[in-house]
Amino acid sequence: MYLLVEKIYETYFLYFRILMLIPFEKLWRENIMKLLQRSEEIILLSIWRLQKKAYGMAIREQIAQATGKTWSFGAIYAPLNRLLKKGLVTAIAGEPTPERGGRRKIFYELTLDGKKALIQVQRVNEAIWVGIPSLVTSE
Amino acid sequence: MIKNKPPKIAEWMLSRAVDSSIRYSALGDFEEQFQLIVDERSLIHARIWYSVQLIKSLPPFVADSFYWSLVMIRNYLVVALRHMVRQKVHSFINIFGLSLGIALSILIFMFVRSEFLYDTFHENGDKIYRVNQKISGQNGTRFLSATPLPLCDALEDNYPEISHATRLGSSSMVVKNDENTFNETVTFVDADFFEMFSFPIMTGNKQKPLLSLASMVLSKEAALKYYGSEDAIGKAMTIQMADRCRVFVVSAVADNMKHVSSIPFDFIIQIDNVRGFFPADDFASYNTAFIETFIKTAETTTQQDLESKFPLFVQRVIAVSDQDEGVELSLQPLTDIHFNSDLPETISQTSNRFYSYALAGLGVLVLFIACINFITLSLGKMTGRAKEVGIRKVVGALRAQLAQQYLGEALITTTFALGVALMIAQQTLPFFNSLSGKALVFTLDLSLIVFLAALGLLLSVIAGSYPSILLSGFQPATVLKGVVKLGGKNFFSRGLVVLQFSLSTFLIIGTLVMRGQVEFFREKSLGYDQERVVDISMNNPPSPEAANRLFSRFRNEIINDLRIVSVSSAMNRFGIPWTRFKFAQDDGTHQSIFFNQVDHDYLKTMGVELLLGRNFSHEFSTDLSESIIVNEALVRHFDWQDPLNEQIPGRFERPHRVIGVAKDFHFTSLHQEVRPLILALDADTIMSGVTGLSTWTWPPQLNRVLVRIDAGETQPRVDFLKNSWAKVAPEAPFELTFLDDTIDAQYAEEQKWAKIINYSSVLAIIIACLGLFGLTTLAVEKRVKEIGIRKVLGASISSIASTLSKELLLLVAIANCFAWPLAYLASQFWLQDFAYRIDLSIWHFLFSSLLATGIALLTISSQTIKAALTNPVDSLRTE
Repeated sequence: MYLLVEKIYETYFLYFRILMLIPFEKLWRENIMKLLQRSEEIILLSIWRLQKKAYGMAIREQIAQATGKTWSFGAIYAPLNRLLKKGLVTAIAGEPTPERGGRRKIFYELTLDGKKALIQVQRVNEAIWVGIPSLVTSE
Repeated sequence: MIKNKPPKIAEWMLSRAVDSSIRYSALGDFEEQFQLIVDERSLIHARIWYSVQLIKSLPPFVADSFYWSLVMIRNYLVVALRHMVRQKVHSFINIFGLSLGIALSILIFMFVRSEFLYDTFHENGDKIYRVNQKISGQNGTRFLSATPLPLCDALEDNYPEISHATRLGSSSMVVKNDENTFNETVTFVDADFFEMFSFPIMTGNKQKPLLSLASMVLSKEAALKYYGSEDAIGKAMTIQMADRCRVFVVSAVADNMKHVSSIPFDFIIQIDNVRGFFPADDFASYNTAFIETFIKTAETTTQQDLESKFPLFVQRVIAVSDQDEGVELSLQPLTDIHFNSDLPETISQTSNRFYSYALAGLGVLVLFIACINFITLSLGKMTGRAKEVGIRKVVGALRAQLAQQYLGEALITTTFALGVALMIAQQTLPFFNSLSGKALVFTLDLSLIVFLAALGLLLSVIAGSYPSILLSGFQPATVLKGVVKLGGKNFFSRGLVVLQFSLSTFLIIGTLVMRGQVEFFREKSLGYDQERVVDISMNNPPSPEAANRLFSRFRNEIINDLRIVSVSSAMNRFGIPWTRFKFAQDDGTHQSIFFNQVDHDYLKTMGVELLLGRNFSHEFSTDLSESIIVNEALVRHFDWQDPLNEQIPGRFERPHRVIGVAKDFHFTSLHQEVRPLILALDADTIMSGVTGLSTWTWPPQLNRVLVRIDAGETQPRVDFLKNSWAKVAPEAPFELTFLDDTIDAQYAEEQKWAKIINYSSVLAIIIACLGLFGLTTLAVEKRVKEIGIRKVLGASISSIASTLSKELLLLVAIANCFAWPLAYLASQFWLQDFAYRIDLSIWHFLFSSLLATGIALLTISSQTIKAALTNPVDSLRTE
């Protein structure tokens, strides 16, 4: 019986130790600072370009113009939601309009973190493009 | 202005799928685009666009909202684990208590499942029935699972609905092969047996194992016993039957499904082989019944159909030979046999369904006690969590979310407990098997996994719902100001503690009563002295004369040894039902009386007292042919005034003489009252009046040697008997049992259950005390300052300790008041099954309550004394 109790005790705390070893918090923070996904980057840029007029429909049109492809609302809102939760973008409510079924327009703006992230993306992009031989001329 | 609305269903689906933080915005965009399309093209186009867009958008939306709920769950998990680690004692109590409870439930689940799966492994088992007799005479109605020998064939001949039928009988016989000789129980059946029942045949003839008269089927245990690892198929085995030996050839080895089958067997032969073993006319007579009959019906026939046709058959076939009693035939489904205790046990052993239910109830009780721990401890810790709830609410948590979070914590605790419980269950299974007499194997099969999952969810809901509702209801403004009111006197959690201890005390009382009854069985004077008597089998001698010769040779061999006090012999042995004779009366009724054939020294060897008359004596030669001794119960039964001048009522051809009246002795187990009994030196004394019988031992002759040995070391005496036996019967096996062991074995069932209840109540009290311990630590934590002030003001250690324990002890005392009446009723219910039983005394109750209170006090005191001993400087310094 004693042996049994000991065994349980061991497993019980081992279980804990393993779980506590997984550094949830650290993972979380790294996740934020990670480079933006391509879709997130495009949306951030669209919002920045549209400045005060960035709401769902406008963003979608902007992206369609830039990429030549119409994204579904799902494809826009999923990354947008991530940007919101990471605090790179904030939402501001506008006036209610009849064509939205009486709903307000929700405008999106970059936060300071959002701007920093874009600057970082820009830097990285420039850095990897530096010194690349011209793709058009070198056949 | 706007009349065109997007499709309702699509809009609803969208609103469900989208994560709450972008729902408003997304819905708005959808509708704006929709209106745009309505204006530019048409409503139908817009509607189609809406649905298509919805389908395109759903996967990312769903993935997104799922992702965010996972993130939240991760946060809950972190918080929950942090709390568990911070409150090591409480988490340990919760998890350990729950896992003990769950482990017990797992074992009980496996036990109950195996009980209910009894006999279900047969293909088409639902078409197999046992034929029972219902006999109604003037002595009342009784059921018999034993049936006359010719019934089986008669049924098969008369009813085309019956596709297969077999008889099933068994008898103790000497079975030999080249190396081994043992006394074994041999089972006889009809050739249909293996076509009706699906006992898996492991090796040998799988199609028709009982093809010829000389075929024999062994169980795998029997094959192992006689042949070890050798192949048994085709080997010859000899069975000694009556006066001759018959050789059989092993045709197959089958698995007898020992722990899930009501039909036990080790050696199976065809029943026609034993024609010579029973009196010849038994095979045609409807007066004797000592085998069971099983039938298998055709697909379309129902039990009622067939049963409704039986009365005519009984009139035509059976009643012709026995008009005195009304006989009815009934069918009993094979799966009903295991739990049906209305019928006397014959070959198939039964089990009491009540015990399965009681065991399941027990598991629920123990689990419930563990759940209460979780609830009371969570309630106790609530002040600590109040601030967290406040903060969460301020940053926008909904009540439902909070409730979910705390339910989730309960789920985490239960999951931990499930893991530990599985381990405990696995480790303790061998012990549980030895306790319950089962051979359960631990496998995580589907039904167990489903059971565990359901149990885990149910436990989390039971344990977590009340604390989570209460916690999530806190008002952030009040809790964050630091004012937490916890419902005044908190009757709920006190009520739970009372409930917990009521249940524990209830179980302790149950344990004491069961133990008391088992002890009573052991110690009750049986009317004879069962100590130091050995019972040796004579291995069914071929004839009464051979039996007498064998016995007297053995007797002469040992009687002069000083260590042997007395030697005697008898036909029936203790531990199994004795022969019962039926005597037809002139008024058409039957008298049913037990019988045993004994030798002259039986009463002396067993230590049975004679009340009247004399014992059998060698001086009276007539004793051999006409004298009988009866017991008190028989005298009472017939209300004889002068027993020595009476005759057993019946239609005897020649008279017998009652020469003595023996004091009642318990030749059956104490479950039954002492019944009328006749002892005679020769069954022929009264055989002329016998019109029917039921027996486990036949023919009437001496079968057992009973030797009373003197006090002293047992082993040399046993060796002496063994050597003497070898001199007298060198060929025959020597089988010796101690009479007191046999007597004890009759109460194995009660002992088993007393033990199971005993261990369960220990578990229950451990879990309850764990909870009490946790509660005390909480109470002490809350009152640290109060204790400090009391000490500063001069309170003694003992007064502080008693102040702290008073309240919890009061709860335990109230618990006893609930437990007593409940335990009284339950004990009465259990005891009423026994003809001889203990009276419930106040001591059972008082002692249980004292024990429960004492254990509770011990549990509390470790904490209260520690609190009382702390230096007030430490506890008051912070103020």
